[in-house]
Amino acid sequence: MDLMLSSFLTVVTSPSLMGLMLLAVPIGLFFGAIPGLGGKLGVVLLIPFVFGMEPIAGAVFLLAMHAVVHTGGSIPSILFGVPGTGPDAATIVDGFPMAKRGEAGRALGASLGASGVGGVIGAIFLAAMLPILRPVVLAFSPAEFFLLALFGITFIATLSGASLRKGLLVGMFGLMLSFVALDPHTGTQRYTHDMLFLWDGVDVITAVLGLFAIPEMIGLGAKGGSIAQTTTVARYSIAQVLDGIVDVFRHFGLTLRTSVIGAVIGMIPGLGGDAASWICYGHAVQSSKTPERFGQGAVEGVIAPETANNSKEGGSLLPTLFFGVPGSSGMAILLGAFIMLGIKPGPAMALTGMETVWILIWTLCVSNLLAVVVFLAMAPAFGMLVYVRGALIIPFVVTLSFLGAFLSHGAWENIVLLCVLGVFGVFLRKHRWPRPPFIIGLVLGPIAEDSLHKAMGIWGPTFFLRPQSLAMIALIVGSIGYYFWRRKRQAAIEVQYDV
Amino acid sequence: MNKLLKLTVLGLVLGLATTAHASEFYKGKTVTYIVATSPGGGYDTYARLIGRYLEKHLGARVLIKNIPGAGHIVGANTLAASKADGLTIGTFNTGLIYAQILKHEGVQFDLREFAWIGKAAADPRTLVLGTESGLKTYDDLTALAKPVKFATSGVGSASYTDTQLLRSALDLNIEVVPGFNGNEGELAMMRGEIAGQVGSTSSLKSFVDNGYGTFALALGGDGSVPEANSKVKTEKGRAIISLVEAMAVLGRLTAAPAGTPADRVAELRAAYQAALTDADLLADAKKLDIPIEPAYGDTVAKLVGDALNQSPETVAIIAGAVNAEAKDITVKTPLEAVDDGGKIIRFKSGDAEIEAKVSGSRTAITIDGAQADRKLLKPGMICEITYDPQSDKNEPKTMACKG
Amino acid sequence: MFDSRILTSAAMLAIFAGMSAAALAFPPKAQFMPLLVGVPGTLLALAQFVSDLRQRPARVEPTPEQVDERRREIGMFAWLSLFAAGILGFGFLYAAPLLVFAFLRFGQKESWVVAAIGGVGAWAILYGMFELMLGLILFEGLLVGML
Repeated sequence: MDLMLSSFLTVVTSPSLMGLMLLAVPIGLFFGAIPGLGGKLGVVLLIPFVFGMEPIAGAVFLLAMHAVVHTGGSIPSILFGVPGTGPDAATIVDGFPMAKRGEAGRALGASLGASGVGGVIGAIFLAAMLPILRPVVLAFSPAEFFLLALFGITFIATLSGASLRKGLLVGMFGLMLSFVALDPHTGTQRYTHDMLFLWDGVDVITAVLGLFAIPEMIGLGAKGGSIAQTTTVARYSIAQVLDGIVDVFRHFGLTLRTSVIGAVIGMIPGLGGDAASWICYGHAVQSSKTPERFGQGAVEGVIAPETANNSKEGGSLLPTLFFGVPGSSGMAILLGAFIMLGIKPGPAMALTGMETVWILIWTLCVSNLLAVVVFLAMAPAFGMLVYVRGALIIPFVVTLSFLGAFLSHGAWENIVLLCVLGVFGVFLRKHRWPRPPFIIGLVLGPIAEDSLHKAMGIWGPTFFLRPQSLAMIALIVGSIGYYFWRRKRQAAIEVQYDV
Repeated sequence: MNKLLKLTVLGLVLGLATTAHASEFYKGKTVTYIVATSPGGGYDTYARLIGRYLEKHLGARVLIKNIPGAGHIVGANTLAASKADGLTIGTFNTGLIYAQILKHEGVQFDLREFAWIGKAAADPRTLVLGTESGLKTYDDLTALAKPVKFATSGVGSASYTDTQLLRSALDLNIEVVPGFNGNEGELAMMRGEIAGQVGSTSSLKSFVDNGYGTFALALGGDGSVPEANSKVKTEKGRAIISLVEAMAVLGRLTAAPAGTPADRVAELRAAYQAALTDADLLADAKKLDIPIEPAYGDTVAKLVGDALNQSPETVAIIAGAVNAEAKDITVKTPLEAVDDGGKIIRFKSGDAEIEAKVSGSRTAITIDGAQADRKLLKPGMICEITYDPQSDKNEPKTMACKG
Repeated sequence: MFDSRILTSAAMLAIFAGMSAAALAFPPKAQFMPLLVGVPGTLLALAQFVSDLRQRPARVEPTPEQVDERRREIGMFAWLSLFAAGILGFGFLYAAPLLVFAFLRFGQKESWVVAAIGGVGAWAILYGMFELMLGLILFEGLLVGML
């Protein structure tokens, strides 16, 4: 107990640590906001600077930077419909329509508040799980990943909007595209046709930029005007941003649930941040009394993925620090950095390194809160961008999209893919085919297939008869059943899409 | 005497002038260091570390360019296709040697042609057994009656190839489950789903140190763990082990594209050597906990060349070991010798002399169309023999003989 | 007249049918999921296609606004192609500022000043932020390498 307090004091009363965090937070926001950069690159580029630092100072600096990357990533998602990072793609679905309605400030505020609260809850989760960490992390095997991915895939149906058939088709299209790769389980080239850049699969950032950002920009150019399609006068409104932050507390039940779900998913190495955002978004739709508002600017659609984005950081620190096994690819790099700094993650941490662990936990909390402050200062100005005339926004966003597609893998072929998917996306948008299910298919497809083959390889076809799997199946069936039962009770309502 | 003196002075002056000119080449220029992986990870870490010190010793700016994809093949292809002006170098997985030997799809480089700068570490392989599996030593593994599961990365990757080769060389009773990237295999071992893994000692070290597994077998290690060399029982196995060990020596390779001018290659090699012997770099490497065991230029080129030079038999063995289904070889040839009542036969398969052990129960023998026992085999008979080059003693599956 | 609505469903059908057919050539383990998704997908896409064919809304004369919008949309496609060609051919640093400038001035009829600021700004950000500060190497263009 007093270790907890003493480490808190160590953090907040140290000018150097606070200073480092104050420096790290804007850097993290920046790396998140530019599509194609991302937290991993940020850590890699900062490592040389951290080389000579004290172990704690270096770790605090890097962690603080990494913790707020997704807070920054929501900025372009909301303002331009361009995902800053993969997991921020879910924020586009409701955040961008909010911007188009002139509520960009509120969306930014909600995203900010959600990220902050989510990050803090993630840190608390990390602290709370310490005693029972090992059995929980080890309880999840490929069989459970498969079932979880399958569960996420069923969200395609619930997010299909007016036309179930079109939504299913788009979702299945995403699934089919996710199979394009050199299949690691058989070594078969699937749909790659001598194109090496496809061997590792279709790049998610490129696909999302192509299907979402490009059609939006073409639509904007065709229609004229600005992103905000309202007739109200542009207002510099910090009140709107604050209103968004309050929204997080208005929906506190949802905020709490999605934070915990995000932290749990983060804790389980192998699922990834994209899965966390989409599963939480799907949960928000499923648990809402008025699901028809989603897709058109429901603030819960911003809150849910954004809490998960940040809370998963806390979760993924658990296996990283206590097993020495990174919880995500970003954590893998952080792990390397920690080792370099002289911190040795592993079971020994629980015995001798608890002070460091608590300092890191507090770093997560404080940096997320600092991000709120930093961002708050800038948010109203950002919110004004949606009132700028489209002519100026379009070349900026298009260039950013091209850049993002290229940067994520250094492959120019992704620029071609971007344009091909972009053109296809224009027609999907025009004829009211919902596009969010595509990302679900693309992101969860590989997890589902990979886990399926692994589970089959380990246990054979009866893998789902294990007790943990049966429990998961019960949970999933129960959740879907509950959703349909609730829908039956209300008049037939559907989710309309404005994206 | 005067003439000689003049010539000597002239020679010296010219020599100095050219060397001075050569070291001027890199000043102010930018060298691109291609890394065949995305940022983070072993190759990237080594490249960024070495790159910093290359800058110091070369006088040029070194920019890291990450070109991931297709298991290092895209990066290596890009390096091979780069302008050979001395301003581009690259690093990639030693496992690409397998890719070249097996004529993997997508390979557009020739490792023999690269201008080798050097290598930074040795990366011995080990076989690790997870604590959860209850197996602790290599003997535990060999004593098993039922096969256990081993995790590897995707089919065709270096990790998969290493594991399959080891399985074949030592006749291990394991089932390979592919698709485990990064640390997924370690987690699976912790959960008890997977019994073990074959991987690089450096990457598995912390796993073992934390008590989650034990080093059961080493290939080219320091002797603290039983050596694969001491456990291998067949000639074929020995050939495979020595290949894997040879490749393990060549960790963290760096090369320039084919055709890079010799003087620039020499400069790069000199700067690389200076970097890897720089006390500050060694200190940094220690902090990063990454080993530095360098070798340079021609030494590396020779090692790579040797590794690539495998007999067709060995290539067939490697291909067979790596494919999901083993490839049988079928030849129609006269029997050169028959010994021990038909148990041992000798014949030619292409250029190679094959000695095969005929099984009384498993080999299906027909002589002139009728089923026959191996006792009836005679030298001089022309037989169509189908045998599995991977199997111990080339045991034939079928023999259809005439005469 | 090519109705893009029907073309879109036709494209979907073609994609599913094509990918499912290609999957038949894969070994069993590799074809499992693609067929599991692809075959029902093909059937569903067929249903959608037929449904779209059946729905023939009455031909309505497009309003002048819609004609304008259509024209601008085609213009946007042209600009997108130009951007793609430019950046693929000449890389970010050369092509992007030029194209941004051209788009602003000629495409959107902005003033020379605005267009120039846009172009210079693009270059400044690409060069200053990415190349200098972050040390990232931006795409240099396919044609540039050949020069």
